[in-house]
Amino acid sequence: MSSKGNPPERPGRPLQPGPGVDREIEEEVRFHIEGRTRELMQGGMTEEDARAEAERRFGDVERIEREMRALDRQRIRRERRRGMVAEWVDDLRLALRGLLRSPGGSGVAVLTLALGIGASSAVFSLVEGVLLRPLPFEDADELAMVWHRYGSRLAKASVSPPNFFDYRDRSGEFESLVAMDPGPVNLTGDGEPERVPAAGVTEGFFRTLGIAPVVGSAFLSGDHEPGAAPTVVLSEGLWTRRFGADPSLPGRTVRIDNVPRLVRGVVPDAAALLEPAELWTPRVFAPEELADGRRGFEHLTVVGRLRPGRTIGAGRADMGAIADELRARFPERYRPEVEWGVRVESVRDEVVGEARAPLLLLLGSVVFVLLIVCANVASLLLARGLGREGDLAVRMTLGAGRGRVARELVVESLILATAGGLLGLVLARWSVDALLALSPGSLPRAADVGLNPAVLLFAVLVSGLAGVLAGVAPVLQLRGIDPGRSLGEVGRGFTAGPRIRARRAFVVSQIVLAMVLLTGAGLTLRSFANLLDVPLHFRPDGVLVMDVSLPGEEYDPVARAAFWTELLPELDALPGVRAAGATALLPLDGRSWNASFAIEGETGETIEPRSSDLRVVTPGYFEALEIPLLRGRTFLDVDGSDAPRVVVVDRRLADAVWPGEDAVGKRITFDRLGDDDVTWREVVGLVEAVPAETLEEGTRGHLYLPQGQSPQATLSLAVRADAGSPAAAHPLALVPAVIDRIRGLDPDLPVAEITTMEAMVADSRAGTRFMIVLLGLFAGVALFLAALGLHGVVDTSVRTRTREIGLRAALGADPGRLRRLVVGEVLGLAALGLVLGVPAALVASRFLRGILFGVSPTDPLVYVGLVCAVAVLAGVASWVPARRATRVDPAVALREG
Amino acid sequence: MTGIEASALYGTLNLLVLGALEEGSLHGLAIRRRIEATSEEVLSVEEGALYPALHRLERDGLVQAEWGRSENNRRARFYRLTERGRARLERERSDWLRHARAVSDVLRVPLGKS
Repeated sequence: MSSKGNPPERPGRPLQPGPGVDREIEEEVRFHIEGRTRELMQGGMTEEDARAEAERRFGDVERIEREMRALDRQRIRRERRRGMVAEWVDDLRLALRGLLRSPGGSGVAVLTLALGIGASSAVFSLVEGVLLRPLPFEDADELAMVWHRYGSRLAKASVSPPNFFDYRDRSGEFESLVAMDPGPVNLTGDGEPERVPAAGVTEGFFRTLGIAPVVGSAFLSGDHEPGAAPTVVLSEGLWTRRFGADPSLPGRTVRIDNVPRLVRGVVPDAAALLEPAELWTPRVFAPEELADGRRGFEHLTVVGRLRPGRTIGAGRADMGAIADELRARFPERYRPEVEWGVRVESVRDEVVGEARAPLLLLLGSVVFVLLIVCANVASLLLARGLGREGDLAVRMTLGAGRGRVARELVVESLILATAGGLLGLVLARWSVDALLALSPGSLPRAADVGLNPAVLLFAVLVSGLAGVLAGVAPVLQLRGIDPGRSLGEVGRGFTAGPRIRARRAFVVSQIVLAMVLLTGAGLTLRSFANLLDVPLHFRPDGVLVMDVSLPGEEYDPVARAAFWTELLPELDALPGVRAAGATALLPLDGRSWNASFAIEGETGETIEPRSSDLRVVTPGYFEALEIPLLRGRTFLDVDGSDAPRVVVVDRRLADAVWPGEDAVGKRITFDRLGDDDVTWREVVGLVEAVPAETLEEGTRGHLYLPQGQSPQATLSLAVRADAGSPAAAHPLALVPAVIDRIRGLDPDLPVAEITTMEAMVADSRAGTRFMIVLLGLFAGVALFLAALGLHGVVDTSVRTRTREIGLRAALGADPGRLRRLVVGEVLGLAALGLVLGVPAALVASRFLRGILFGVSPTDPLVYVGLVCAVAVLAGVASWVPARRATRVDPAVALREG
Repeated sequence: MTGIEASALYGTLNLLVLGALEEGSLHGLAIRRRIEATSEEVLSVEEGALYPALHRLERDGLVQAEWGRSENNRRARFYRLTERGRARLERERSDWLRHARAVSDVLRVPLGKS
């Protein structure tokens, strides 16, 4: 008996369980039983007996067949799975091979994708960290801040202590209200003297915010009683930096402004999100601070937690009602023309509100860039597809099926997108660092920005999307490939095939998108130029500034005045110093301080607003900043506590309050008219108006008081270097000498915020500068990619029309006409892009309204520039193909056909 | 059979089948005949047990099956060792020999060809 089998009957194997396989099983079993029957018959049994015996020996046929069926099903499942995996591995292999065959094109595609994915991931990480991530407070949506408002002139002013207590005690909608009184303090002992930002807070501050201490506790209920032992709560950052995160610190004392304070505990840095501070002390108010006369002393930042379920609207109504009561109780302070009111904003809006519009704008722009990138890559893939048409047709003929080929194309673009995505993440990592370094200091929650799982997820999604988008076009083009026809027509040129049409559409859309980005960049650029143009009315160059604070416990008002009276002449006398003075708030400081006042001779029916920015300054201040004196005089040392009260006003205020008159000699008061004890202050000088806290706010009226008569604990010192001296270019060179003089008067006084006035001015422009750099970058990239796309399309067009061009050249057409042919195509595309792009840009620029300064979204200059840019684009993109068109050798061209 | 890893080849029947196929492809009936020469005991349970064993070996990739023509020119399903099956057979064979020698040494029964 031969043990070898015969050759197989059927090459394929059934891969589906079903009747076919079941039949085979039955057949196999029957074969065995029949064969056994025959064997047994050979042994002498009858057929009947033999079969019965064979069946008996076989066993339970039903059960065995069932078992075999189950096993076969398992086998088929395994084989099918293996087959699928093999198919996918095949696809991957083929796709990789296809991509590596044109390394240049694939490389460009990967780089372009990396650019788009990386940039959008970087911007998204900004958006995520600043806008999307929840705030570090418990139930942050219940938190709101309360401000004073003065019509449209002053959107947010601090709250005065008497008013704060009214709000707190009378509120129906707020579960709790707390106030912060910010101000830097000196930290001595345990190391170098250090000045840190701090805030005095009212009872229940940490509880209201929903912040739990890291170690120790928050303030205890007795800490806010008058006469309680001094206590302090530190921030985690300070605790780590200065005290080495020592867990035994709560219970010990630290020296703050020369007062030993018991450390209650340490809280997370998140507590400083609303008001920068590294430590908090209990703010206890002296009775005179709460007098009605002090309702104009606005320096508290108020935040509160609404009752659960209450909306901001309810909070607003609530505060509004209290404000109405106050207005009724104090009609002279809150005259109608002052337009005083209370404003309630959610903490979320406060923290991120100003950053929201610019960040979303950036996100939108980068998405545009991404779309352009996808269009570029799709175009690239289409261009390569031109040469592969034959190859693909062959594969489809051989039975690969349209689906399989389509899948392979998609795999190709997904591979490109994955490679681009990985590279893009690297780019994003680096970009985020660069973005943060470039961003204005005013970017909230910058510390929360980074590459975290949310950003990674975004990058993955974007990569996938890019891969699909870029791959869609070549797949759609597959429909145009008819295997029978294409095989015969490989290599034939064509001018208006669907492939070229698609690429043309891509280019036009790229131009449109690029134009929108260019508009954004152009408008922002003009905004920036306008910001630069804002007149400062003082000279920022050559001025050194720093903050000096005199702790209240050591320096009473007399001592404070004396300190400055002694220090300034010493600084004046330094070689290289031209003038020195100090102020409570420098221009463009970012913070504001205002007060309401009344003028002499007013009755109850005046209509002029009576609130202005307040600045306390020393003699020498105006000279140090070179703020022009227009009339009268600036402050002198004689303007001390015993002298008649004086003020200096600026031109803006004078024009508003005393139009057409000479402000010098007029008198104002901070007290209520009609009080018995009104202190009148005489205007002794008129100076030019300078910007208030930001450039965008422009100049407002300023009231200047002499330090001698309203001594402040903290002043910003300004020291101007002699013109022509080396320090004029580098004011920081004066720092050692100045600090030396300060230490000479008091060795324990640290100084802080040492910088130059020029740097402060630059900082105030930093926000817009940031936007410009990014938008400009995006626009540049977009323009570049659009140019590439345009070039590519025209280039291909020329190539495929080589035969036609050669024919024309052979027939004697002059090169000029050929060039015009090409240029005509370019101009056509560019013109179409313009026609569609300008309206798109107009619509999109509307979103910029919030961040523009002095520029309307329909600024004609920008749009003219746009048209020029596109024209240049078209010129550059068409140059090479146009040259090539004229160089075509007719003989070669005709042969190639 | 003690001492042999039951998990090694889920039953000696499978090992015998692999052994039977060592020299070429056979259909189920022929496999039974070849094994019959060695052990009546195995087959006295159920002849049908052979077929689930064959399909299991096929599922696990140790044998491969094809339809062909028997010596009587009837359609039959032939089984052949795959590379994996061959390697597995070798491995199990040497394991088996080792154990058998050990047992025979202990029992002082000489191992011989039957």
